Amino acid sequence: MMTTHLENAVRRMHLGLLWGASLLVPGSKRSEWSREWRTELWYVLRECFSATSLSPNSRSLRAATAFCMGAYHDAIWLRHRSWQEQQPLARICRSASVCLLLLSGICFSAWGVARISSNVAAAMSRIEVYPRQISDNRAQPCDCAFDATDQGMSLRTARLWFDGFSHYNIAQETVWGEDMRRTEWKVAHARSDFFTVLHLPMSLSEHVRSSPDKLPRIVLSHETWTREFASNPNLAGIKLHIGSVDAIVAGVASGGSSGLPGRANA
Amino acid sequence: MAREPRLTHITALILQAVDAGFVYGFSIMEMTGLPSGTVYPALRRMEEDQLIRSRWERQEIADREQRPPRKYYQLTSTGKRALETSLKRYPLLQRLVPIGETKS
Repeated sequence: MMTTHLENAVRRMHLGLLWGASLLVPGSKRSEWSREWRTELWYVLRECFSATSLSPNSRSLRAATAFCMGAYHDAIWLRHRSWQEQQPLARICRSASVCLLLLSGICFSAWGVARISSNVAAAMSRIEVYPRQISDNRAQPCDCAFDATDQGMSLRTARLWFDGFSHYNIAQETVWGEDMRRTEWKVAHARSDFFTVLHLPMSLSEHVRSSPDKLPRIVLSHETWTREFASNPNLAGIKLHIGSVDAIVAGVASGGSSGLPGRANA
Repeated sequence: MAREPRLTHITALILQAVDAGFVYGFSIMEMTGLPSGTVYPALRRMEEDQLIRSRWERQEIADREQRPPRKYYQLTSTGKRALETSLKRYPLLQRLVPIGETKS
């Protein structure tokens, strides 16, 4: 067969196209894939040149180029197939019945989780504020303090969970009371079930429990209780003004690593 | 165990072409009029489904004719059964690729 410069150029251009497509083929199949496409291209170009007496028209060249572009489609198909083979779930999901079974399982699991969540939500809504009683013979700095040390979960750990959530937001507030001058405190606003959610026991003095007003309760940090109130053991039930809101002191958080998250004063 | 092969119109057309003697990719393209991007992936899928099997031509045969060796396809027994089924489903296939017409 007579070889012309044009034929060589055309052949090289199309081989280049095939080489580009071969990069998409998985490595294990590339050699076989390239061999087949290069062989077929040889026959395509032979048809192309023999039909036009060594001067292929644009139509036959377009046909040869279209043939090579098909190689990209084939390469992408092989690549996609290779991904499917690597993913066992994709193999399993070929069967419609298995898919339905899998979908049923997911739905059942979702239903179970939703049911558990709603039970938890319902249980939490039934819990009163600070319902767990501490035994009377335990010595506490205040009769309504709580202790986190025996719960295996420190509030410092809990801080990681609650930062950024509406459960626990810290704000700078001005606080004053009957026998207390105006002071700037870091006050953490938490939901009433905050301590219950964390499984931290909290008892309320009879004074606080029987208080007729529904004012918000405030738990002081141990440091604030010591510094601002000189560790006054009869602090429970005292009313404080926090910004524009009145609140009743309900207890004192234990000191050390179990203090209030975010170094809050209350 | 091989999965149940999908007998699409393209699969049936290629089965018919291979059975008629168009046994390599380019000749199947010419016979069916399908583009290369359709024929070659279909051939691979059919080979996976064990409808066809492929073999490379011996090098010395190709060398004698001064051309590269080709990859030939032929029907398996499963492929032949699939072709019979597909001819019942697509009876006009026989007119498109008449059995008996072969290409050397």
